[in-house]
Amino acid sequence: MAENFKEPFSCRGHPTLVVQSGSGERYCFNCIVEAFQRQMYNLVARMLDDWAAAEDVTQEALISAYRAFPRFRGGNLRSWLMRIAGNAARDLLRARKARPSLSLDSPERGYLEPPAAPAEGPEEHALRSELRQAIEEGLAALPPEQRMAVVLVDVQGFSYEEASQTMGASLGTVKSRISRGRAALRDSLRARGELLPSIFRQDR
Amino acid sequence: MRWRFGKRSGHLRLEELSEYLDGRLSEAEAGRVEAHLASCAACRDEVESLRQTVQLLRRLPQLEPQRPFVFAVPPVSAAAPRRRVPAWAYGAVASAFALAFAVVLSVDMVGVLAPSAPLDQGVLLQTAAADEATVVPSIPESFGAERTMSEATSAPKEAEPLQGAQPPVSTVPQATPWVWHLVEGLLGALAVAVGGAFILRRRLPVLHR
Repeated sequence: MAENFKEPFSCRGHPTLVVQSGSGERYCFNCIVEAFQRQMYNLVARMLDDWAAAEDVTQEALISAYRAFPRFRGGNLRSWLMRIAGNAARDLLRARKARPSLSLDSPERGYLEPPAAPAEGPEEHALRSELRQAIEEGLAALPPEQRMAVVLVDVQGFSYEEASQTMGASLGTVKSRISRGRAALRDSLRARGELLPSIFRQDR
Repeated sequence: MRWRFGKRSGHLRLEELSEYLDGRLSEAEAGRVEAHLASCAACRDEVESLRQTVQLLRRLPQLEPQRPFVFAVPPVSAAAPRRRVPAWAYGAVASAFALAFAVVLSVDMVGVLAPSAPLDQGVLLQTAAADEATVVPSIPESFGAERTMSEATSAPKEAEPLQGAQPPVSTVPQATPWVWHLVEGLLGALAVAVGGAFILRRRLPVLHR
């Protein structure tokens, strides 16, 4: 997968920005950015529950990655980058906790909806509005470690193994974070009642 | 309904259910889970609600950042100075420049630099014809010979009146080479610039978060 970023470079639409890894291989960093920026941004945005601040944090994470690149010694580039993004998000969360003045008055979760798909059914449309808000809020309410595990595995489709690499945690820890995160999210969706599918209603 | 499926209860564990949903259990383990589910409505409900939750998460749309993150220029220069320069460094550098400025200026004022400055011939030639006239004799024979040959025609016209009036080793102020004025100006400006940056940095903490 990582072969696209290495020499010979075939950059399109951006300047070639050559970086050298710790194992001596040369990559175009901008090609790496293009390939992973969306995944990094999605992780950061859901970790922060703040779409706008996530852009700055993603940019900062990419700058850190650029500077740390000589320390990348091959292996899984995606989990290496996602780990940096996750750390950057966690740093901001920690700073906000320590100094609440850094938080926005109300976290900005602008729903910048992608244009409606032509084949979108009514069910899809419902998910896009209230249900989706309930899910995002439920995610945001999870403890950060559970949130990261659930976002990586369930939203971004990482394997447990890659999530464990990304989070720098053992496989057992990741399993437990995923299962507890899912259960807590399920509980919060249940608590919201009516707008959710019948399975979440508490009328038994 | 709170979660109350522990090992002791005889129900399936949360992690088992999660892994079962993800198809991560071995055939034997999955068989055991399914056998339990067949006989336990609570666990069936549990696994079903988790399955729904996972499905909802999988269908969350990908968020689109509003700007590209590709770098137009290498990002190091923009990021490196941040928080890396300790506050005292600005003061120290400004003081160093100010001190150097003061030293150069006072040395210049005393006039020590003017006549004997070990500058190369090219600079002196540009400064004053009068100086040139006094320095040329000290050049080695071979070099001076051709020099005086070429200069002989033009130099004397302007140099002659002055030459008579001044001693060979002079301390005339205007003889200070322009290079020194440039150095003085640069040092002074640097001292002011670094000192100013130091003060602004204090005043505008917002810029540094």
